[in-house]
Amino acid sequence: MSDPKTDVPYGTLDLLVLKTLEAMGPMNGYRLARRIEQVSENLLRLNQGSIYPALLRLQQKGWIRTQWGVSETKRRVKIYSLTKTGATHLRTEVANWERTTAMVARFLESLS
Amino acid sequence: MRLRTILARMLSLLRRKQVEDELVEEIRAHLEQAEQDNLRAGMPAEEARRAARRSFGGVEQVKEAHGDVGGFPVLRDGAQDVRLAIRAMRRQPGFATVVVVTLALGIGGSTLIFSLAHGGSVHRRRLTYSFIGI
Repeated sequence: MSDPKTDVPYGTLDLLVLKTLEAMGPMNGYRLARRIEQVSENLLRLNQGSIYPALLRLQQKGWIRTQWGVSETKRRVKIYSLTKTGATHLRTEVANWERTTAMVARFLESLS
Repeated sequence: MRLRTILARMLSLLRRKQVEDELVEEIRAHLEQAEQDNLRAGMPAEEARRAARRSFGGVEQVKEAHGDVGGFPVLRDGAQDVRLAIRAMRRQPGFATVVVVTLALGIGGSTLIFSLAHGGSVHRRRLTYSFIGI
């Protein structure tokens, strides 16, 4: 049987980050990584650090923006938030995801 | 959107040092917050710090992956390869000399033969285009 913990491919991590920012508002890198861990109920084998390259990529694509803020430990940190383009992209990606999942489910069912 | 990414990467390239410094700062802040959360959850100090580092993963890997996204990794990797090559050549100067001389003879010789075969000078021949008035 396959391992219940799964490695997160890049595309999926992008989706999780965008969705988390949309649902829970702007937050810094650590909070974001923790939220994703918690919401996925620790089923994701995510090295928290891997969120930073993903965040840079999302920023370059214009889907998130950064502002300077302060962390709980009084350090200067970047606060990430969703842009309008990001919100649109998220909507499209979620629709694609749901469509793909439904299609695969239908396929598996019809063959079993 | 592709253009946007290219421009963003070029900008990252110019601000290379700054981008790396910011990442280092972010990582430090991340580990601190993780440690604090762990302490609050009741872990002893040393355990809290270790657990924070563990859930973060490899710092060098993160810096590497981050570098792959910002700037143009082909340039960074290319420059690194050149540096390694120069170091290797310094360690074996005799071998390096043989390679350079061989290449010089090969390139020089080929160019010479090519020039001779084309009537003296390569520059004298001009490419002509029969279409348009370029």
